Amino acid sequence: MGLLTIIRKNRQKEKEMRVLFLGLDNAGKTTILKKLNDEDITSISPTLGFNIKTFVHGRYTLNVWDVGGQRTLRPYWRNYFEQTDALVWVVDSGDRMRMRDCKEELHSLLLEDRLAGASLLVFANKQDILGSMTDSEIEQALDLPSIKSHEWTIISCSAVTGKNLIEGLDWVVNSVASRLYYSTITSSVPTNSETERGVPVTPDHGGAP
Amino acid sequence: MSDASNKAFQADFYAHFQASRAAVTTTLEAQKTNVNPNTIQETSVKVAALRKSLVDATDLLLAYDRRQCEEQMAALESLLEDIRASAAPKPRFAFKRKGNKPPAALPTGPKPLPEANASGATTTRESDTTPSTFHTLAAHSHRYLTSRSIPTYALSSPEHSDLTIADLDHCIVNLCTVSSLDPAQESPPILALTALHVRDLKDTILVLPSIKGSALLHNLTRCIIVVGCHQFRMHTSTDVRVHLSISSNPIIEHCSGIAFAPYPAAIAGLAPALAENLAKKSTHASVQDFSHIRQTPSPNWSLVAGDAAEPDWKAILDEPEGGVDTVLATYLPEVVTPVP
Repeated sequence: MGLLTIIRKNRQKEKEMRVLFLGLDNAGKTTILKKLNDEDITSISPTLGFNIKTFVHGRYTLNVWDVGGQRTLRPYWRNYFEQTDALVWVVDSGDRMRMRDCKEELHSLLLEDRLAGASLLVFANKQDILGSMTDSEIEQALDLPSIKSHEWTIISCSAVTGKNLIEGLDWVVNSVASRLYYSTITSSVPTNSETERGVPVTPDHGGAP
Repeated sequence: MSDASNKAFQADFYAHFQASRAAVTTTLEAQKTNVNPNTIQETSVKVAALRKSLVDATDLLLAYDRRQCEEQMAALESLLEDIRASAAPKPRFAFKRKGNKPPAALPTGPKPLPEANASGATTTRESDTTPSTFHTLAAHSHRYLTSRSIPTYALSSPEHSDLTIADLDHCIVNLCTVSSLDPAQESPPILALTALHVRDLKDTILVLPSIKGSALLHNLTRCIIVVGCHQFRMHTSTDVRVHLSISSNPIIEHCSGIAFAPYPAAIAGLAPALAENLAKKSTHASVQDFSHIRQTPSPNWSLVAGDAAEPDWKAILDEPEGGVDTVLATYLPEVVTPVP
């Protein structure tokens, strides 16, 4: 391998970002990713294990990890923390009854050492449904203003209509890039994506990548 | 390597290892009282050599021998470390990593996007003036409930709305038809729902049309649920029969005694609007139990046999004149012991 190849490979790696999608079950994590990827969203089953998607967004490559949110899967979230540049916390805006649950899970994540320094985007999903909580209501319900350890924002979106999904990714890329790369960012529609499907996370083999 | 030579090697190694270990331990014990840096240096080389021989032999040793040797080796190394620490002069200064120290590069305060901030501010003002428009059906017992029972139903019948059903005891909820007792009234359109949240139901029959989004259910006991949806998640429930039309895999978590059956044709046939939203090919049988992620079939759910007798849906859907309790008493007991 020549020196040029090594340099080129290194530069390519620098342009990669690792984004972790988490949230309670039924938040719409997988649906958001499928919508961004222009895939069919009507027959998505609840995620058993995880999905990986790769988006080219502007000048950066996003490796997005989408881990299932069922209660039995949450203990395995920690297996995916390593080297995360940004955390996207997806919220079902209509799920008033579990907002407390949602807040507690989020705040316990933020205490995690391995997520220190990751940017936090809260997606207030399902805004297409009438009667959903607004982004400012959710900001209060999740006690976001108390977060001082991470750079955060909240964006209301809809995975079904696609509203604000690209804007959310833009924020993630801008936030991470301004921290890591000190370079200017241009945003564009994601293109050229690939999907991989993870093996189910089971108690036997942990499901760690 | 043949079995015989392998066995001989194991015996040899074990004897050799124990001998060297005994020698090193004696030297170290002596050093405890009278420390000599040169001896420690020599001993640590011996310990390292012993460790290397153990690592090299690891593949060939019997599991029990290996574990024994590993433990003894670890004890030896920690003994050496202790003596070293007591012999070495106190380090004058060292850089230490402090845990939980936030990275210096982090900004001290959150910096939300200015535009997100602005839109957030405007929506707050809106939400302060307009009342909540989500539908709730909650806190009833021994009642027959229809869409008219939803307090906010008359306000609007929007395309995309959210329905929450909570805290019902001994109720029948029928959102598929209107009461036949007042035919003079114009029948309201069937609710168009995009999300369903259900929580804390006991001894209740819930008959719902097909909804365009997901259904999330918590804490159900002795219930019959009829629903069509894109996604179905049920948590912490027992003894529930689910008549389901779905296009993805339904899942259960922390549940037991759950039975799955197809969406009843008798109910789908009541109105064209009910039939057209149902999944073309329902996958209600491919249930995933998140509390039982194994190859073996889950003990927590079963399919209702195809030839099992259907309940008399008409009797359930019509408002009973003698109260709901007789109807519930007829249909709920069979739920408790679902047909395997």
